[in-house]
Amino acid sequence: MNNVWVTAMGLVAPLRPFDTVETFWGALTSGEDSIKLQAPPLLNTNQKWLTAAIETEPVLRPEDKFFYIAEAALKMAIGDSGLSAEELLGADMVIGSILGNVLSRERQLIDGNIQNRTVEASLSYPVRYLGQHFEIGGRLSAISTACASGTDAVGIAARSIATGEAEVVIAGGIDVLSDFALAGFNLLQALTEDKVRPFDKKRTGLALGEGAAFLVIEAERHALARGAKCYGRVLGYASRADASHLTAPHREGRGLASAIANALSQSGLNASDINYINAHGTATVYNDLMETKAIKLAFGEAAYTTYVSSTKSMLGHAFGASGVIEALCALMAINTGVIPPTINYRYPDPQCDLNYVPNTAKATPVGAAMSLSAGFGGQNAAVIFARRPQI
Amino acid sequence: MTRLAVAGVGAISPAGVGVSTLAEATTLGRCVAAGPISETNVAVLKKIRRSAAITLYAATAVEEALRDCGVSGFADCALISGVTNGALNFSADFHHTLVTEAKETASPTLFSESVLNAPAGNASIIFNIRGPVYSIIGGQSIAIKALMLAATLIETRRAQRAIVVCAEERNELSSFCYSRFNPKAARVFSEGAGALLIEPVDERRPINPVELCTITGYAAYTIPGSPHLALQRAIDGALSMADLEAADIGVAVSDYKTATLFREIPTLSFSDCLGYAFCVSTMWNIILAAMACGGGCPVNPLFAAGLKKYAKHSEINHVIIYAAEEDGDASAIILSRVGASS
Repeated sequence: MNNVWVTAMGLVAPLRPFDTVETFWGALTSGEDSIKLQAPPLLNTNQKWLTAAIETEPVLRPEDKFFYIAEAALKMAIGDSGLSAEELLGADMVIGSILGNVLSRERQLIDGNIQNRTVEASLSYPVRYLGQHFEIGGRLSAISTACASGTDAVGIAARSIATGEAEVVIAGGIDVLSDFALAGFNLLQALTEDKVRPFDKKRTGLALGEGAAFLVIEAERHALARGAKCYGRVLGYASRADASHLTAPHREGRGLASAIANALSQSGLNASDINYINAHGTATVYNDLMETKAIKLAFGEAAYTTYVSSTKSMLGHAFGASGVIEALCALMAINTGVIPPTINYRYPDPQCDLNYVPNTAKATPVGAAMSLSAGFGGQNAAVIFARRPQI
Repeated sequence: MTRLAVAGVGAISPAGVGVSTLAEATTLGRCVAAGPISETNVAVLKKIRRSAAITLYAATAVEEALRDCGVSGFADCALISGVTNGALNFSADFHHTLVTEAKETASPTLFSESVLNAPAGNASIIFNIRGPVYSIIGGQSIAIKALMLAATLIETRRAQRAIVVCAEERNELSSFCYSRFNPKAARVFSEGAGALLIEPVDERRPINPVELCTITGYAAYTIPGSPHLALQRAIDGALSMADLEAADIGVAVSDYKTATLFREIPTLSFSDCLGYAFCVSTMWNIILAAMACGGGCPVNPLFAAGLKKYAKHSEINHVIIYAAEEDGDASAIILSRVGASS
């Protein structure tokens, strides 16, 4: 199997406007909260919702924002990568998204557009559009595994490199706020009207967010040959299903624990080698309890000495994009030696008894970090990154 | 490379429940696509009464593929779902309720069952499939890409075996879109599902010693705006992987209309009979090809009617199934009769 490197990153996320990943990271590790009370994008209702929205000038409709933030994030990642036009032509791309192109399809029908738009109406159109726009000429894939979509995109990309199917794969996640999702999560009673408080005893639910993030994932041999930088190696990845319930996690964290254990096994690391876990950490009662149980099940005693934090406390839940955003956070923790906090944490939950890095970032060396995701359909995914060894 | 066998198949189509109805309809050339599916698997239906039709179809096909293989479920099995449009009827109902009524009156089921991975999620629950579960999105070629992902999972030992399922439901919105935006296509839309169970040939369990065929080559390419070129590369890639020449192929199966890819080889399409069901059409093509390969020599009756004018093709050792999209996405897969060499 080939060694797998992450050689570039780019994202657009809530928080104050930023041009670089470093600026984003500075805001995030200072505990900046992007979640505010806002009106839904389309539906004409009086109710406001706590959401983490990306502000654009001018204000964009959701279907336009989807492509706007995707282009901006991918441009940042490609710029960071230093890949030549020729290398991009040979690169593959895999994008994870829950909504995909649903919003564009709705818009075209509403507008009664009678142009030949069969292609643009297809759900996998975003990956084709981005491939054509940035002249990425390899295989293009779209994956939708609910809230695990982004992590699965990173994992599938890394697997392609490891098996020698590809030398460069761009992995991304994109999703935007929509009335459809807000109303749906509200009906499932998953949204909070309070602060987002992951792992806190008084947590009451999640706030939805949006974003786009991309990682350039590359074979070590290829990266070394072109003198690319290395943000970290991908050492392990696994996806496992709960096979339990469509919308609720397995109460004992069976699927997530299995994903963690499988990813660890692949990586060749012990649980005690993982210094930081970027948790799924939605702040719903069931997710956070399940996730804590899963980490304990897979890590044993090492669970209590590993830092665990939820960046969703600041960024909200960006659906399919969250997995890539959080993978990027895990890589930045490795590169900067700073672990982002879980903000709004006040009351410890006796059942959630790990070290959640409450409220203030923690400066500590991070040799290896794990990012976790879970989603509808009983989806669970875990990916492990590690510092590049000294050569 | 791990040799993979197609060990189980399952389907539901306007012809009815089961691959036998699919095969019978295509053998007789009976057109069954005029209406929606009216027959369902009652046992499966009981487990997912509140789910969308697409989930019912997916679960029905998976159940038959597992049963065909002699098992009722696998903990260490992967499930890969190919989706083109998803549960658009539930999505439309949810939107309609949100816009025309108070948002609190909408059923949460309409939301959760309309996510693109709902068919795969429900199937994993019903059949206790706990390995990697993925839903990948695309057009007709996604069925082959789903098989390729499943093959990679087995090859890298992330799963012992894999179920690949494609499902679609008839929907006014998608029918309207495709008819209005592409009037020349004049397609009869269809719905249903198809599923395959694949596993390594060398790890066959004695419970089902009969394998339908082996998967010997596959490839996919995306060249935006150039579907024909992408398809040619995909076919070349699949032939190269299988170590075959084009002349070794006994028959090609595809709904992609092109006259130049295989001049000497008969190309069959069943969409006139079964209708156009997006990614499911390709999966039905693969299932029918797998059954034909399983029949081996002489030509399986399934293909006999379509092959009459090609007298020299008295046997089928290798079948290529390919698909391509307007947007430049193309894929190809080669199935070979067990024991057939290149």
